[in-house]
This record gives sequence, C-alpha cells and structure tokens, in this order.
Amino acid sequence: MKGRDTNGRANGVSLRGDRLPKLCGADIELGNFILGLRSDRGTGYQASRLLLKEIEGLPRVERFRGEQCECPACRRGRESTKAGEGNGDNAKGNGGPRGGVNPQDWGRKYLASNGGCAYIDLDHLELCLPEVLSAYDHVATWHAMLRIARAALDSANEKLARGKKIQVLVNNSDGKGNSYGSHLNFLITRRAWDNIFRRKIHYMLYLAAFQASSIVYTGQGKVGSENASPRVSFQISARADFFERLVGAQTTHNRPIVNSRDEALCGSRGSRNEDKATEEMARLHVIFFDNTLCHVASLLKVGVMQIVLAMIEAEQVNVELLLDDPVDALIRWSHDPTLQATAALTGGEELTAVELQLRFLDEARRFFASGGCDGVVPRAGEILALWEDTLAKLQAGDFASLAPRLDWVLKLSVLQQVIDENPELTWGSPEIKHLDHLYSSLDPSEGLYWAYENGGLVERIVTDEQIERFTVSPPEDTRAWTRAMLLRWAGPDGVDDVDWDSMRFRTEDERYRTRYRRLEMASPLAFTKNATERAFEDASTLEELLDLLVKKETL
Amino acid sequence: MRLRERTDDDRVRSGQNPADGGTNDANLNRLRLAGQDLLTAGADAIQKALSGDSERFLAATRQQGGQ
Repeated sequence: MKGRDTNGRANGVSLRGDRLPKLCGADIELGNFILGLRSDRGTGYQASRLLLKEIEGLPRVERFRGEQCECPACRRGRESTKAGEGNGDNAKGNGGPRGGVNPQDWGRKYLASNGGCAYIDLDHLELCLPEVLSAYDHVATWHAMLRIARAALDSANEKLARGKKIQVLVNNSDGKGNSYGSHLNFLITRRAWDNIFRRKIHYMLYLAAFQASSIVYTGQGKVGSENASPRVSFQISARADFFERLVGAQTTHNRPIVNSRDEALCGSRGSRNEDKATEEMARLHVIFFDNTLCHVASLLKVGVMQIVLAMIEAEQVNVELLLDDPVDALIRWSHDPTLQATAALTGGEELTAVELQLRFLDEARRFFASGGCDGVVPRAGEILALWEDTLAKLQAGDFASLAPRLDWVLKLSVLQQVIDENPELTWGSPEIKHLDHLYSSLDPSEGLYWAYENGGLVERIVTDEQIERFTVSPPEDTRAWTRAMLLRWAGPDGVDDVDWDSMRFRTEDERYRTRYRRLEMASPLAFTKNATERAFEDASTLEELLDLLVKKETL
Repeated sequence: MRLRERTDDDRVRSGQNPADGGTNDANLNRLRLAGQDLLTAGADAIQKALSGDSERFLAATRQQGGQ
C-alpha cells in the first residue's frame, strides 16, 4: 500500500500493506424523554429534537417541510434509500423513509468545536465522536461529547415549561424491551474485512468469542432481563438480551453479535480521487458493546478491541478459542454476575467468561511481544497491563477493587447495598429499576456515576483538562482536525454539505456567482494537524485554502 | 444464589454473589466498606429514587427501539 505524506509520517504510525493503525470512531444513541409530558408512544421524539436544537453545528438547517429535514445528509439519505442502497434494516421498515423522512438520520450537524457530529436516529439523540487513534483519546472525547450533550440538556430544560423536564440516560435499553446502540467503528484493512466476513469464517467466530466474553469488563449492568430472555435479577450486560444472531448487517432487529455492515467512510470506491491506500481501507462497525461511563471500562472496551483486531489483521487467530454457541454463551455469562457460568468451546471445553478472556490475553501478550502492536495500537503495553490486572481481580472475586473500574460492578455494588439497607426493597422493586436508570443520568445532580466520579470513587484514566480540551478542540492526529478547522473557517455561509470523508463548500467567483467545491477526505489518517496546519496559515480565502488542501492531498 | 433465577442451567460453578463479597472474608469486608462509601456519595440520587415517584419515572422512560 502506498503511504502519503499526510498519512503515516505525520502520525508517527507506519502504514504497511497488511496493517493499519486501529483508528476508532463511535456513534452512540442516548435514552431521552420528557418527564411531565404524557404520551402513550413515549416522548423521545420531542426530547431528541429539543436537545439537538441546542447543539451548535453545520451545515445549519434552516428549512423544514413538515417533518422533512432538508439538510444535505437527510436529502442524501432519502436518495440512497430510494435507490435501494439498504443497510440491512430496511427489511423491517426502520431504515426507509417514512413520508419522505429518514428516521435513522435526521438533522445531522457536524461540530466545529471538535470535528464530531450529532443527529437524531429513531428519536434518540446520537453523538458521533471524532476519529481518534488512541483508546485514551477515545475516553476523553467520549466524556467531552457527554459534556456537550449535558450543556444542551441544561439549555433545553431552561426553556421548558414548569413541571416538565428532559431526561437523558447514557444507557442502552428502556427496560421495556427497546434497545439503542453504542457503536464503535474501527479502521481495518480491506483484506481483514474480507477475511472476517467472506473468506475465513473462523475469524468472525474468533471476534464473536472475544466480544461475548468481554462483557466482564465492558458491561454497564442492568436490573432484570428483556426481549424474552430468562428472568434474572441483575445481569452484566445491558445489551446481551438483544443479540439474537451471530452475524448480520442489520442493527435494529435480530441484532447480530458481529455486524457486517460494509460502509467504509473512506471515500467512494472507484471515485476519481480514490487511491490504493483508501481502497484498501474498511470500517468494522461494532454494535455489540454497552455504553460505559467508567474510564477503565471505556478504555479497555476500545483498547483491547484494537489489539484483538490487530491480531486478526495480522492473521494471528487461535481457532481453539472459538465458542460453540456465542449467542447462548453471551446470555449465559451476562445473566450470571457471580462469574461462575461456563460456556462450551468448539472443542468441548467449558470456560467461564473470565477464563476465556485470560486465553485471549495470553494470545495478545505474545502478539505484543513480537511487535504486532507497534505503530497500530498506541500505548498497547499499558492497555495490556490494565486488562491483565482487571482480569486477575475478576478471577479473584475482588469486586471492591473493581467497582471503581467497571460500571456493572459499581452499579451492582450500590444497588445491593441499597437493598441490604432497605429490607422492603427487592430486585423487582420499581425503586431499584429507577436507580438502575439514574446510574447513567446525564444530570449530575441525580446521576449516580457522576456522584462517584466527583467523589473520587472511580478510577480516572484521563483528566478533566483532557476531557475539556476535546469539548473545544478536535483530535490532532486524524482528519477530524481539518474537518473542524474547515467548519470554523468556512462558517455557516460557506459550508454546504459535510460527511465523514468529504465536505462541500459554497464559494463565489469573481462575478459573485455561487459555485460549489468539494474536498475529498478519503483517508481518516490524513488531513492531520501536522499535514494541513500550514495551509490554514498561508491561505487568505476559502478558495485558496481548498486549493492548498487539494494540492496536499494529491502529493 | 440470590441473583440468579435461571433454574435450567447446570453449567454454573459454585460461587458466591459478588455483592456478598466474592470468595473470602477479606473481600467481603472490603466490599461492605466500599458499599458504605457508595451509599454516602450517591445519597442524593438514592434518596430521589426512594422517595420519588418511581412508577411515574418508569412509565416515562419508554423509547423507540434504536440501532
């Protein structure tokens, strides 16, 4: 693969033909509703729109025809749906336009503050994190986006009539059988993607086995079960009950553990700006994980996944770790917070989730020692050490040490304590389910997690300053930097359309006629601060700036 | 076990409820102490849930299924 000046060298990462840095993005739906407003169908529709209105972003949407959002992203979504470019969800009618509306992509706006974006997906406010290289930066950008959402929540609530209040929950289900996702996106080679989904099906099973057992540190915890799963008082994963398939492209029904949606967001294949580098890029869309608030859980969720994907990309896959039935194993393990439940490997051996994770850790240790993470997973050694320590504590049953690290242990510890102190309460009491929801309330006056974070009872991975920085600045080592700077430079009058891998601008010619110019940003590893900062300093007009950026891109 | 209600499952090794302290007394005592800290730090939210109208709150949480 050919590397470009704007790619590897600027990032300090290497681009070899068979490996890519494990760049990560995320698109995360939140629970949102209005207390004090009655509706049999719920109030997510109203709450999500009031929240999105309070988030500054571009392109600015001024025109609505009834329900129909006229922003370019929505127009594009309608056109692609009409053209039959389904995403796997259309079979059930969730992905298609309803009366000209795309309910899965409404009002999308990109943030000049940090290069991320926000929009509404099926009546949920969805936060999309800017692309990052490091799992540590993922933790910081995730909490930064939550702060941006909290500011929107405060502003929206100030405008509501007395007696009404918008609630935002950073969870994954409403307790009534409706789930919403916390998706991660990882850059992998096209060859790795093809291996997982088209050529070497045991790679997909390896990924499924890893993900299913990873809930022991990626789960948020949940009171009760849903979606016709067996009854349980408390379970480790909030999403486990909703995974009914091993693999598939769909995300809103019959959800698969491994999602096969192939949408690279690295340029349109075959376009004239395509080069071999971006043609060999693919995005793994991961719909499996829970929303996590604890820093350690959030770090391990992304960091360990980066390492495992690097192993898969390097074709270091141990087929002895495959599960006989990953969907069943996931439910079995999630429903047993004592961590004693076992599931069978294809070879017949029965393992607990922690035991299987320890096997993956052994594989990862060897891979790391051989240099496999070099240049593709930043700070892999630290991530491995934290993973190992966390698994050791899980294996030892040292839950007091784990509560500051893992959401499900923290939530379980406090709920069990509340029940112990209040004999009239049981796991089935509405008050306990209420507290389950309040654990992740974005409102710091009632969100249990924030009380523990402010009280120093959770282990920090990133500082407040690092988080705050990403509320006003983009990551510097991905294309998110140039996206944010271009949004600032062009402003609402100049920005016509934005997508992850391209931007279109309105400019004027010498006769003041409007003309449109598109900038392709196919590689997420390009357009870093190092690569383009000089262009922003040298240009005096938007036209000049775009000329310089195009020139740089085609070097 | 207090937490599990599955009865058709024989693939569970003997163990204890983690909220009861895992596998030894030292863990148990540490978890109890940690639990007290959690109650204190989360007192406002806990009080809100225990003295508020949980049924009303839960009725309002209904969401459209998402991705």
